[in-house]
Amino acid sequence: MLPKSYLVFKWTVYTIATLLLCALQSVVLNHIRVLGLTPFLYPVLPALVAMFEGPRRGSVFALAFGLGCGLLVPEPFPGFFAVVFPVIAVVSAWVAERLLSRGFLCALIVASLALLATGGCRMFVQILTGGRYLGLMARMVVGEGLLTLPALLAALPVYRTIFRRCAADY
Amino acid sequence: MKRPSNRFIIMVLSAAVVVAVLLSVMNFMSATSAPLPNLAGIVASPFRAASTAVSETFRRWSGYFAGVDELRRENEQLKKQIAGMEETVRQAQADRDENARLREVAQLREQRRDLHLESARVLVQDVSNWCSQMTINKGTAQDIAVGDCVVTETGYLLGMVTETGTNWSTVRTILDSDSSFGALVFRSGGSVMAQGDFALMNKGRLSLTYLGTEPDVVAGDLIVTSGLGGYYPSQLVIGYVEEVRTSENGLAQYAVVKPEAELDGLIQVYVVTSFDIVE
Repeated sequence: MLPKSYLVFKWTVYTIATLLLCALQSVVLNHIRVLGLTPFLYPVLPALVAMFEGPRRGSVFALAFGLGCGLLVPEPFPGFFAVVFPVIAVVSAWVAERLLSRGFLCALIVASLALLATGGCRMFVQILTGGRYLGLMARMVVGEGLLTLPALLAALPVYRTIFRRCAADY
Repeated sequence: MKRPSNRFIIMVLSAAVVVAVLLSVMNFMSATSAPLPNLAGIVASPFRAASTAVSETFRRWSGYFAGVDELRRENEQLKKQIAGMEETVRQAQADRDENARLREVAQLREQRRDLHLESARVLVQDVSNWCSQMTINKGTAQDIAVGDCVVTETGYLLGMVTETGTNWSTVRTILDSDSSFGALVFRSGGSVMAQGDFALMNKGRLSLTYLGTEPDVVAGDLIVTSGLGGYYPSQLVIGYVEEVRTSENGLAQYAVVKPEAELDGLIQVYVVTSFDIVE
């Protein structure tokens, strides 16, 4: 059993790192437009945290992050991110524990899954609300994913450092 | 490694669903923003403003030297444009005087346009590939309400307020696929509908629908708000028609409109809090 102060410290550091990565989205990524598309880093963050921390802590973090995200970022319906992100977290943790070790390849796969899942759910909601352009939406999901994946190079080292340092301390 | 219990994960996922339902209900029942999003908006306002300031400074610096030649060219063009406009203004002044005299003779009511504007700063452009929104730094405390129109300093239509908090509001731009405005073709006076279109949104364009069986719309036509129904002010400039296309099923035509308002890099906008127009 880990001391409570250690857990508080670790999750405070995770929160600060996540806020910094959100600032990266807001200050830098929001201003990048390629073929009319913008990178969307938010789904990748809970996926990476869950990859390192496992499904239990990962899904709770994803729920909290999804709630915060939903309050500040446009979403198809209230609570969309709060529902989608924990599911992404559980799947990411499962991939990291059962299929691949927690390396770059694993991060690339869970990030791709997270982006595809978020985009896919958005597509589903759009279709339910009468959206057309299925092909265009599918291209958008793929394009958004490809555009966002390079940002993994910024997000992964941050979370990996926190995970390793905290694991090394205890 | 100890496997996490499925029960715990199911509990978290159930909590997520309950939270989503609660937020949806709160959002549905509240005329303005629900308390939680309102609080989040208030807390986030200074951070949003700070991040916008940082990115704006960065953008200004990066564009400072690169844009000098372009600015010189634009300056020359603007000088020519001003000369042309001065001529138009002189003619308009004469027409206005004549119009006033004729109205007096015909005993017609004088046309009026009183728009009450509230200036606001763009806190953040909620860049998403799926919608087109922005958050501004004024809200219910400044009498801004859902449904208010938002325009640029030159009076070009930007969008409509869709959500308000105490000191923030969300504006859905005219490009968003959920946006629709009653519009007029300025040249012909034909009534049409200006709508955001998912396929055109990322190209910075919107569509013009309900053109009728024999559309009287051509490339270059100015599109303005109709103001029909009194929900929005009339004569707000939306944009110019770029081309007229036939829909995929071949049954109807629609026009592609390039908005006059420059949506990228917006800093200052104006919310039409109330209006009184006599035509």
